[in-house]
Amino acid sequence: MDLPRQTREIFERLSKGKFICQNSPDRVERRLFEICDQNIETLEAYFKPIGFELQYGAGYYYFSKELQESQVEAKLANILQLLDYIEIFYQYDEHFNVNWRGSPIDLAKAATDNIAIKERIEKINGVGGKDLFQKCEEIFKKMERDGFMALEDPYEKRYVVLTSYNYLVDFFKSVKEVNRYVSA
Amino acid sequence: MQLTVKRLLKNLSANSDLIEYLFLKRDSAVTLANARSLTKDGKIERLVQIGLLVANDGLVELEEDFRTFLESVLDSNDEIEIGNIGDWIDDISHNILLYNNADTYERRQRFIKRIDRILKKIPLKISKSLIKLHQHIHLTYKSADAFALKRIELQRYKEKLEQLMAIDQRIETMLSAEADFFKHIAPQATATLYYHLKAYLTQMRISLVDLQRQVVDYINRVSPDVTFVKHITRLKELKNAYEIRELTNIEMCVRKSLTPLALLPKIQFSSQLETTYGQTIEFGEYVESWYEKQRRALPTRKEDEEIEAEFFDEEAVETYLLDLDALHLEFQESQSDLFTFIINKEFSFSVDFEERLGAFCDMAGLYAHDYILSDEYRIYNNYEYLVIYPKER
Repeated sequence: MDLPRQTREIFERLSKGKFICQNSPDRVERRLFEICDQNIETLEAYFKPIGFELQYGAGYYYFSKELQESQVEAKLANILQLLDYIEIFYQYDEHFNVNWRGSPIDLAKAATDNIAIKERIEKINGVGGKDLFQKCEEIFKKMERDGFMALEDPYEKRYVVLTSYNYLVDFFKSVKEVNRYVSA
Repeated sequence: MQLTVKRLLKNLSANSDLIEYLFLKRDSAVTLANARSLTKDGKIERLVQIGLLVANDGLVELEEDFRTFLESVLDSNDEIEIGNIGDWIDDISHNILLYNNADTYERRQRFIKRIDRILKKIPLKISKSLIKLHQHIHLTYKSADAFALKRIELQRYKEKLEQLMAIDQRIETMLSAEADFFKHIAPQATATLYYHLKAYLTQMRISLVDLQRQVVDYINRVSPDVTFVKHITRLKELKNAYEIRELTNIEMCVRKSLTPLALLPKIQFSSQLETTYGQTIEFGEYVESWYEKQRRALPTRKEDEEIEAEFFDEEAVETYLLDLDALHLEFQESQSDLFTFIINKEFSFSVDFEERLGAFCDMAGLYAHDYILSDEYRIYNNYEYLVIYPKER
C-alpha cells in the first residue's frame, strides 16, 4: 500500500475532530484536500482497521465514528445549538452559505439596527460575552471550533464559511416535519 | 508632416520609458508633471501631436488605439472581446465570393490570403476568450466580494459564454455553407486550415458546455437558497416551541446520519502512553488496542431464562425500579469503584445480584463520559469486571 507522505498530517488533523476543506484559507489544508482526493481508497483502507471511517462530502473530508446510544443526546444538543447560530446568520444575510465572508463586528452592527437579530443573539444558549460584540464573536468562534468556519483575515477578523458547512446543509435538509397525530 | 513607420518607431524608441510608465498606469490618472519627469522637454507635446498620447486637464494617457494595440500584442487586456469574430465570419463569406469572381491569379491569391488569415485568427481569438472567461469566472466566484455583486458578474460572464456558443453556431453554419469551396476549390493550405478549424470547434464545444455548467453552478451557489432559509426558520420555530423532536424526524436523522468527530462529546480516558508517542503513526496500533479494550470492558448480560407461565397472570405485581440517575450522583461522591459501590449499596427493597450487575452495566454505558475507565480488572463471583472510577469534580 503506497501511502502518501502526508498521511500522518491527515490523521492528526482528522482525528482531532477537524475537517479538511477544499476552500480553507490555509494553503496546507487545501493541499491535504488534494492529497485525500487523489488517495481516497488507500487512506480509507488504512484508517478503517483503527476504527476511523474516512468520509467525504462536497469539498470536505472528515473522520466519522459509529454513534453510541449514550452519545445521541450530545450530538442532538450540538446540532440544535448550530441551528440557532445558522438561523441568526440567515436573518443577517440570506446569502449565508459556503464561501460567505463576514466578521463579528458586521454582525454586531447589524444586530444594533435589527431588533430581531439582536434578540436572537441575546437569547441564545451557551454563548458567553459581556456585550453584544463579544457574543457575536463567540458565535463565530463556536462555528470555527466545530470546523464550519475559518478565520481568513486575523487583522480584520473576517471569517469564511468552509465547504464542511455542506454537512450541516445536507443534515438539515434531511430533517422533515412528520405528522404524529394520525386520526383513527 | 505625415507619420511614417520609421518616424513612429523612432519616437517609440526615444520615449520608451514614458510609454512603458503610461502603459503600466493605464488604469490610473497620471499628471503631466509626473510624465514630464520621465522625458525631455517638448517630447510629450510631440507625442500628442503624432497621436500616441492624449493630454487633458493636466492629465496624460496613451491614445486609445495605441493602448489597445499594446494590450493586444502583450495579451494583457482583461476584456473579453468576441464581437468582432462575427465580422470575421462575414468577411470569409465575402472573400470567398470575391475569389470565385476574380479574373486573375493575383487577385485570387489576395483574397485567399485574407481567408487564410481569418481562418487562423478565429481559433486563436476564441481560445483567448475562453481562457479569460474561465479565469474570470473562477476568480469572481472565489473572490471576497459581496454575493450580490458576484451574482451580477457571473451573470455577465454567462452571457458572454452564450455569445461564444452562438458564434460557434454561426461559424459552423458558415463552414457548412462554404463546404464545397473549401473541399473542392480552395488551395490545399486553405483546405487544411478549414479542417483544423472544424476539429477545433468540436473540441471547444466540450469546454464551452463544461464552463457553462460551472458558471450556472456558481450562480446557484451565490444565489440565496430561499427554500432552505425558510426551512431553517421553520425548524428554529419548532425548536423554540419545544416541538422539534415531536414534530420532526430530527432524532432519527441524528441516529442515521454519519457523525463527524466534531459533533461527538469528547471522550476522556487515562492512559500510560507518553504524549510524544502520539505523534508517530504507530499511535494507530495503540488506538486499535484501546478500542478492543473498550469493547471488552462493558460486560454483557447473561441470557434471560425462559418466561414462566405465571408471568402472564393478570394479577398486578408490585415491582421496584432502580433510580440510576440517583445512583450515578451518589457514586460520583463516593470513593470506591462502580462495581464495589453497587454490590455494597443498601437499598430499601431487595435487589439481587443479577439486578445489581445489570445496574453496573447500564451505568457504565449511560455515564461513561463521567467515569474513568481504568486498565484494571477484578473478579467477583467468577465475574470479571472493569474497575471504573468517578471523575474528580
